[in-house]
Amino acid sequence: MDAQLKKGVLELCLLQCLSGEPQYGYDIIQMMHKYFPEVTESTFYAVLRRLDKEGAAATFRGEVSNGPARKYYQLTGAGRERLRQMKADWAQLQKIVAALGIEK
Amino acid sequence: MIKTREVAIQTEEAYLNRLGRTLLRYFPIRQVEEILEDYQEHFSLGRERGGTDMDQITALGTPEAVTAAILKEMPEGRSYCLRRTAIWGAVFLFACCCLLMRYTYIGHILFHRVFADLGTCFLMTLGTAAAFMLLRGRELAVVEGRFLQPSLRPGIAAYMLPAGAAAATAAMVQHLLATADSIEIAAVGLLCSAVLDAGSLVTILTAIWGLWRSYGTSIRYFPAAVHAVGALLFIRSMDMVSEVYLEKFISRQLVWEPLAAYCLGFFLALLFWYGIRKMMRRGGRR
Repeated sequence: MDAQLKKGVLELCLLQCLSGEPQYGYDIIQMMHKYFPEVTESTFYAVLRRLDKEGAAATFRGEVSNGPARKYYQLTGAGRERLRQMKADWAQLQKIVAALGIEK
Repeated sequence: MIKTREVAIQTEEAYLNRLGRTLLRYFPIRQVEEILEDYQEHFSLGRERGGTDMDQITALGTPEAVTAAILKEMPEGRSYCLRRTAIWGAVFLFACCCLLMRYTYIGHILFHRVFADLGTCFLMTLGTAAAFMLLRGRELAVVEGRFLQPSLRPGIAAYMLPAGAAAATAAMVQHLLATADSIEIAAVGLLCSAVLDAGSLVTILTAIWGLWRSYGTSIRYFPAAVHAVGALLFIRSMDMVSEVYLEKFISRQLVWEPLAAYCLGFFLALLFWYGIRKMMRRGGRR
């Protein structure tokens, strides 16, 4: 996949993953890795780290009954807004692609 | 080389050690610790879900690839690296150039002899400190202490070799000078320089090796490099003593100069060794 295109797509998919219940970074990365096997797990971690830094995602330490407290990832308000925006962009892109007859 | 490195990393500790070392070239220690914590959790969760460490290491990619991926998302790491390298690299080069001048013909003219002793001490301390900062020695020690790899440290030979070379050079020069009356004076001068150059070569190679290993393998090689520099300056100072000797100007005082240079190297090496050990303990406790 083209690097520029991939960058945006990965971000959109990660935001979508985060939009549900708070999850471990590990589980998010495993799920993403299943759909994008050619992308290394570290790339997802790096994007996740950037999203966290930009305020689109938030982390907190959750207690588990047996074992150490672990880091959970969750979408913030800003992240939700960005996801909505990206979804709209994506839909529009799809429309353009279809209109130009690039699909099939 | 890359292949052997990949084979070498087989445990979580070795992986995180290597990752921490690579990341420290671009990011401040706090950020590096955060990233390492994430990866530590990744390993522990992976084990809970039934994966082996080796599977995880393969899936994550090499520590170098991880660093490259993070740099792509956080490009400010490059300028951080550049800024640090420029500042400490300049100080390091300054000290190196001054020392080089001091131990060559130009230095003889530029520096007054009495001042030179103090100058050498100052330049050597400055140079080693700058090299330590350039390598991010303190932070490396903390990270390495946390993910300790006992196998990664120099053997006693790394210290014995330069010390042996210095002692052998001193003995040979002393012997040559003692027999100076019987052999032609120019021949003694040539032989002395040859012996001194051979000794310098051994110590300088040890110093470069030590620095290279500190950069690529473990900061615990750093004191060995400092010690080798002390031995190098010991040998180079002897060059001046022998020159003066040949001009039939013998002064007891001059014998102490090489010894002072070596002692300073030894003392600095000890200081760094102790500091690194302390930092590693601090990292290990966390």
